[in-house]
Amino acid sequence: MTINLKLSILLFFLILQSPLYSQMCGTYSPNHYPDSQTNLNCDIDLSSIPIKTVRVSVHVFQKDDGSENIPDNQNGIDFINYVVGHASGLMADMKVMDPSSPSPHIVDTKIRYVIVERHFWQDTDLWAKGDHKSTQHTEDLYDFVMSQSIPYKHNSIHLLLPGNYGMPAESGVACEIGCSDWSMLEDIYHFYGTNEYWKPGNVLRHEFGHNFMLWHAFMSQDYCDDTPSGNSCFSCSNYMMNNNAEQHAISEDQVGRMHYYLTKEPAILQGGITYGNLNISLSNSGNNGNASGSTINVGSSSGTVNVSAPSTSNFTWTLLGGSSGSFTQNSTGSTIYLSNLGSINLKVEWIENCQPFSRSLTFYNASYYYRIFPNPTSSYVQIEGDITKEISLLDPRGKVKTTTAKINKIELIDKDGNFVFSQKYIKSDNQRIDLSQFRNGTYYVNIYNDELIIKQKILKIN
Amino acid sequence: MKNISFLIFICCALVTDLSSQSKWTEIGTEWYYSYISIGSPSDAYIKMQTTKDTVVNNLNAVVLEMNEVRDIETKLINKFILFQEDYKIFRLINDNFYLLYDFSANQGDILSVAYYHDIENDTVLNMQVRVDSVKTVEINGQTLRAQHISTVANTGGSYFFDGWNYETLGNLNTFIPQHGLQCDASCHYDLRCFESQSLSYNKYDLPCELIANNLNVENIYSLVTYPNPANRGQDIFIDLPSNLNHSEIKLLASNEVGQRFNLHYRTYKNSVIIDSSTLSRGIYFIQIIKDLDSYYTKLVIE
Repeated sequence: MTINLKLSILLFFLILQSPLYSQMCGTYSPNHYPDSQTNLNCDIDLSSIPIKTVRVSVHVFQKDDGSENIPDNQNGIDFINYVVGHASGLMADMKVMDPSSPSPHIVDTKIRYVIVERHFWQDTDLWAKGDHKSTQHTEDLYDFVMSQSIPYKHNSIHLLLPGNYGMPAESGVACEIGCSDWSMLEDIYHFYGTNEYWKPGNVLRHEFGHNFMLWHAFMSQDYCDDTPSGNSCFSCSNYMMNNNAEQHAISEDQVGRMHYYLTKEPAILQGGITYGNLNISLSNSGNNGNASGSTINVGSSSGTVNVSAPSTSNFTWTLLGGSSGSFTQNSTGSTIYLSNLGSINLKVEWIENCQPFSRSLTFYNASYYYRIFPNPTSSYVQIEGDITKEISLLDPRGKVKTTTAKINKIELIDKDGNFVFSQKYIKSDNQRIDLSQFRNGTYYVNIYNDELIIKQKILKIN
Repeated sequence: MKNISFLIFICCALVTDLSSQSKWTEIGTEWYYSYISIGSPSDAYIKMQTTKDTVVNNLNAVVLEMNEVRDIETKLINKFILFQEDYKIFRLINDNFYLLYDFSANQGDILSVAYYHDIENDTVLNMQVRVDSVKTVEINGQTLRAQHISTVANTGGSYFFDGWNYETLGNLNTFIPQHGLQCDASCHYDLRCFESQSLSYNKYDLPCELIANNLNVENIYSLVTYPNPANRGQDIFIDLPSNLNHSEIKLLASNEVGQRFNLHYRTYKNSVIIDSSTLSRGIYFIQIIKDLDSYYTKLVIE
């Protein structure tokens, strides 16, 4: 047999043994066989409870060259938003059950899904782990995600989107019934670029149903007394937990089970307890404020970095690599001081709620590698990259890699975000942009090398 | 737990009296289950068969093979070794026999049934199964015991083992406890046919060799077929339901002796045409498969 996440099974046991299960609910039809698992408190008053919004982290696994899956651009992000948005939106717009049921018509389940993180991993090995029938595939994908330094690692459900596998199929799988670690959709790329995002959206809603404790309704035992079941036909209804073109209906007992589970899992709910999120802020002469991402431009050769997490003040820092620079820290590790900075790769570790967390971070000083002058300017700016210097970076698995301060492409963007000027395929390590015909004001220059996009502010004056 | 099970079955072995219950797993006994794979086309079924006798732990046991049958291909997907002791059926897991069925259990009894072999920790996990009610059923003039079972809460994790157990046939839903998510990938579910030397059971009035996954019973013999009966050599028209068109359908046929074959056809408007000159006289069961759904008709060639 497959699917053997022991931890989840254990979790399932713990859930079922909680006192709420001793409360009786529902009315048993004489034609149904009562089971003590249905004794959970599923008589839920949906009108009075607040909406529960589940945080979703999306992981797209592309090939090494970024191909053959949803692309990391606005179209790709739009598509992902449509899929998850479809799964979420219809949770507020469920249809009447067909065939009919003793359940009242549930319109709004009071459950929603919101994307908190999108990751595009480029790894052909992981891309190829797209068989939803393979427990090994899905476990490998989840293990990879868990090995990463990412926000919301333990505070969201992970949606795994590997590459094409076999024939196009509207299928997916969840980690367990009553396990909110991950769900996986097979072959979602098949639907990218079509207007059929609702198909993977329907499958996703079905899989999230499993995550939040729902069984297939066509089976004779789904622990819900208000789902006509046991006919083995999974397309002969419009139920979300069967399989059909619509999947638009849910019963009161089913909604009750989902809410019951989510009440026990506040860590994945928006507004719930959040662990493992690291807040990073910078203070130095050139750049102040909160930093995002794991590759941070300090903007000068020295700087102070403050980190915080909700329920700890102790952090441990380790040097992973770097091409120039050093760091010291205060006694708790909540502040580090960077000096002589070119680029440096650090790992920070901390404990919250008895769980270990870590992030791998790169701090670099763009002005060490690239000169942009004169700034302010009235006529032109000259951009020069020092290709004799290595930039030390981290790959998605936290391994150190290097690149050089080449200039592959330059973009000029005005302060409203409009593209003013773009030049690709620059073979040189220096480039001049003529600004004489542009209006005065603030502009941003994006400098692309093989790995990084470096954003610099310039000022055009008379 | 392992030691306890072992002791139980040693005791049982000492008091074995096979005369009270005929052997239910004679060689050649067949079970046909639907093969459910949510979202995938319905183009296979599950056939289980007892293939040979064997001796394990000095006990006479039988080997039961579970196969996936697709077109003309049969793929072995699981193998069980079962041991019968009176009304109890034991399954070999990790070198020990564990209870699977007890056809002599009474209403209210709680049985401990193994559902999962945790290889990493070298333990076998058991679920508690409660007998909700008992009745007798008549099949082929034989009176069989039947028990409705359900999984007791807090046991079995995401595994299920429930519904009717029929003496000799086993569970009508799933032969062994099964994981509830299994059918997202592929699972056996819904016993359609059972064939042994003494007993024949067919749930749906469809040949066992035809696929009946995700079966909507309204689709059984629902296709308009004419002429029927037909003379050999005539063109036979089968009207397609309005929601089907010619693209991506597949025709399967089965004859009276249970041989299954693909059927060639031509198309005409919203019908398919079968050239009956390739068929000999007799009764044929024809299945039209489109994605997840199947439709059936019965054809007589004179």
